[in-house]
Amino acid sequence: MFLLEVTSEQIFQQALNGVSKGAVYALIAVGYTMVYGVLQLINFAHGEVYMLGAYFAYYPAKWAGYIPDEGGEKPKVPLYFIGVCILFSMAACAAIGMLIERLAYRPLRNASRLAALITAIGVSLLLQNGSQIMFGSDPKYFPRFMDRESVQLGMFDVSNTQVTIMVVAAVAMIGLHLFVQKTKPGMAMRAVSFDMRTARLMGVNVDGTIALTFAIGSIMASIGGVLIAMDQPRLTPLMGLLMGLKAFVAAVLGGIGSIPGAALGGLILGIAESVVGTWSTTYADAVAFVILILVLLVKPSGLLGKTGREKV
Amino acid sequence: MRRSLATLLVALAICAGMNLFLAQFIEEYVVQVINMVGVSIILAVSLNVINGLTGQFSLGHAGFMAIGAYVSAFFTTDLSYFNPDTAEYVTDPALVSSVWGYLGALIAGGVAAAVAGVLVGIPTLRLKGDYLAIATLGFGEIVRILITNFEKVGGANGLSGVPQFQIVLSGEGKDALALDGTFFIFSFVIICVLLSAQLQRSTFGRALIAVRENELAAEVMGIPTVRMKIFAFVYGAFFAGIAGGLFAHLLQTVTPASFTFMKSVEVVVMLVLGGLGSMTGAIVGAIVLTVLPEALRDVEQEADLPGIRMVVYSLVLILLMIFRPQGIFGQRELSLRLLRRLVPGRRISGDETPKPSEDRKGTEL
Amino acid sequence: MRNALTLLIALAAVTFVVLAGCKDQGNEAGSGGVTEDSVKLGLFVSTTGAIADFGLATKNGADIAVSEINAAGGINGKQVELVFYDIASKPEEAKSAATKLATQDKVLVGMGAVASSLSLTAAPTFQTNGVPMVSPSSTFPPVTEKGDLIFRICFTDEFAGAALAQFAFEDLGKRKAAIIMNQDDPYSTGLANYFKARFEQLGGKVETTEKFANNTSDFNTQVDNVKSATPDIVFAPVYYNDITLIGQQLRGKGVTVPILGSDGWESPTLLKNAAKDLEGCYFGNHYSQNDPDEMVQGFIKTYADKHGDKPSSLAALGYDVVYFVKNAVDKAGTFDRAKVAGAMRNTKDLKGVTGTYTIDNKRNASKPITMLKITGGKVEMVRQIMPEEVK
Repeated sequence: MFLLEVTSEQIFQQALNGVSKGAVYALIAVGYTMVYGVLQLINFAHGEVYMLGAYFAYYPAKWAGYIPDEGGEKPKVPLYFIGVCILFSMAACAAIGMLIERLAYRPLRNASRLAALITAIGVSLLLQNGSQIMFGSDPKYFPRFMDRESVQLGMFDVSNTQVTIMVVAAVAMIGLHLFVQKTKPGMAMRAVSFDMRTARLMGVNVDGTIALTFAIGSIMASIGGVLIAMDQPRLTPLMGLLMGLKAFVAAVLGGIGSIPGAALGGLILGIAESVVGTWSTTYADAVAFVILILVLLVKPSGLLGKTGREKV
Repeated sequence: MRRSLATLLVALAICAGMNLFLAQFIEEYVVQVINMVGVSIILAVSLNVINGLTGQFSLGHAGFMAIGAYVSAFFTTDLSYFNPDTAEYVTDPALVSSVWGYLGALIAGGVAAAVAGVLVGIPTLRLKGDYLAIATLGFGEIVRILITNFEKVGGANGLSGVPQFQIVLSGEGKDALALDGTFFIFSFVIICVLLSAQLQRSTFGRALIAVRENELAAEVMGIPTVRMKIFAFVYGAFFAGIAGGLFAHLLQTVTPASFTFMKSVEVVVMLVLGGLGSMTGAIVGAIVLTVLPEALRDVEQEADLPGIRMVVYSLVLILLMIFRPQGIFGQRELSLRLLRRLVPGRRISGDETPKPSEDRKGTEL
Repeated sequence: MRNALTLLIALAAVTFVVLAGCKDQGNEAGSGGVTEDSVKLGLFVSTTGAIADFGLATKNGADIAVSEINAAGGINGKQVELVFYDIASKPEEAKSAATKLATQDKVLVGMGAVASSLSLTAAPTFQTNGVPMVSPSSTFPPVTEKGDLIFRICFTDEFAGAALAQFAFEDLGKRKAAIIMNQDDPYSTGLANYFKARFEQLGGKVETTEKFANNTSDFNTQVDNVKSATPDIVFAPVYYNDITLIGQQLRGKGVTVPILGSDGWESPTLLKNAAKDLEGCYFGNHYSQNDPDEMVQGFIKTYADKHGDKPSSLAALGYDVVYFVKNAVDKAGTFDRAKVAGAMRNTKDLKGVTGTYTIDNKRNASKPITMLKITGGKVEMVRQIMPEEVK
């Protein structure tokens, strides 16, 4: 195996890369964590919602002619239209998220968790393979939202897209936190997550709240999808597979069910992968899983997870 | 004991007969699919012991299978790997070449996987439910990544030229009457199914079920839950390793790409489809989900819509779960009901496995 | 005994379900896939799964060749029927598709697969059933070592890797290389291995080998490592969908040295999306799309008319593989498989879209590698490296 001489500068540089990587993990991880919070269901299809988020921002720009069929230099997408694309993607993803919940998960609300899990896997496969037929399996290249430029942060070198990812993700996560903590629907969400039956008795619209949870999780995934597509402008129907898995790992790492946990888990995973990559990119992916297992061994319910009481 | 031995011998004879029959009268392609079904049955039945009986949610079966596949192929195959100094592929001749050597290699693969099972079993002391699932998934991925970067076993290319073994009964060459892959695969299917059925009905098996139903209560009753859980992992891993070895020698290649976490998911799907906790269910699930993609192959060819096969597959999965969430068999076993009907008046007790508890909170009124 | 009963029932069920497919005893060896007025050719590639678009391109190319041949009267007077199976990037599917093609559909020749690992799985099945197999694009050397009926019409990693290393060292005068490769992809690892070996043999040094996994799109870690290794050339034996991102991220971090690539780069979308980032970069391909040759331009036009985009090199190889089979049958003058395979072995100077090639004694296509340079948003041919030039 090949070992580089590594300087601390390189490590910090990689840690910075890891923050932008982890920021997106976090955005997607909250979707897993929120759904798990209310339904105790691992929504396997969530990675596919992220994939769709990227495609749903691609198509408006394509229809508006920002991706010329003839090739050549793509025109830059004006700011207002970027907004249109993002809003369209967010709305479409929210709709898809709610649709998945209504059609596939709600009929199984009272069935065993495993049946629901298998359904989630089925939905995930359906979206993956359906997208291959709908969008084609060849990669699509995202319109020009932002030209990649190098930004010097002290002695570190990041791209403007990476900075955008970090800023947008931070704002979105804080926004989500405030929503869940300070608003009425957010309180309903916490109530349902705490005890669905009591919440219902207290007059909470449980079905509506669950649908809202899916919608919000999907919107966060859509933001993640657009951010990634902007930085790494290649869309494929399978792009949600690895990302979904990593984000899920991040959610478990942070303690599934906890939104700050998802943020923390995402950042730790992103940074760990990148920093380990300084020495060897060969085992970077394996290391993510090793860290996961080690953390779980020390803290079985994740970093910020609630330790469940065992009821007798 | 003598009765089980007799059962086993009868079963092996049936296997041999089936092998000869298939080879003689059935299309090779169909035999190929039947063999794959056999491998799937071993995978599903062995995972059923971990997930179904003991209630430990494992998503690492592909990892155990990979270990078994690579270890057994390591012994039986001429290893060809890249030597960076000479820029050539070097070949080490195979370590074993006889049928007994093959059996030994399979067992070695199973044992290696079982050892890994101990390693994975230890975290289960602390982890539960989804956390355990993700940890075992992580284990499977680690195994795959390590293999991918292990040049000696071919790296990303994997191993090719894995031999197929046969026991020649008479004749020579292509027309020889011989027991081949089908016999080996289904012999292990029978051993695995018989042992698992025996286990399910034994006191030991009831202890496993007790762990599933209520770990705390089981502990209080004096069941060593930790040891039980490790046992389940070791047992499941051993047979997954065997299945991996059979799989490698059936396909004659092993590549890391065969053992992604989707493979583990596939086996879990077989279980849940058939009915988690039911061995008959596991067998039926394995048959259905191995035959279905093959059967849909012709549909795809007719429709000329590449990819439609997987869309149908996933739709079938979703609809089945929505309309029959307990799986095809629920927790029932086929043999029991059938026997009851065949022998009226005779009560068979002690064969019913308790239903799993509803463990999700927030059930609506 | 109840267990045994369960088992028996299960086994009986299996047997019962499949009994429909009883063995057809006749027509064992000899001529294959021939009915009164048609001949069956098998095609097995992955049109779903990780590398679905490569399989689809191959199939599209093969479809065009088949309809051209049929319009022109078929092979040896018989219309071609293409039996196609998706193998979903899975070895078990490759095995069952190969078995089905060889023993149930009884095709004359099996064509596939794209991925070398899948070709390796299918090859023994074709070999034992006496059916020739031709891979359009599996470049891993051992594929054709599986038997005397296994062929390929592309060059091997061994040749391409060494040729590219020589090009970097001798033609470009580079001495310090960095490699970025996909560790899950045998194509990528194979080329990287051979490149490194040859480059260091010549006296150059590979400073770092950066690996990534399937479906990676964030290459910042790899790029920063390459940057600190300060190479004078980056070798990226990856497919076009990856190089688009790698090129962009390398340039985004200020790594401006030329990038050298392989035939996987060839794609209609490469220049559309990466012309700016890959300005001044080189890649080795089977042919040049600017080649004024009638056959090349004719294929590109037909393909573009049908699918809206120009063909990738995989589509071109899919097209050529069908003509390779046709040529062999024409030469053999019969549908006898052994004779067709014999004609394949003796293929000499056959002209295809992907160059003129000869089948060598290891059943590999011996053909030149065309070095292309990306300049001013266009691809220009630099030179051809002949097979004789590489040790």
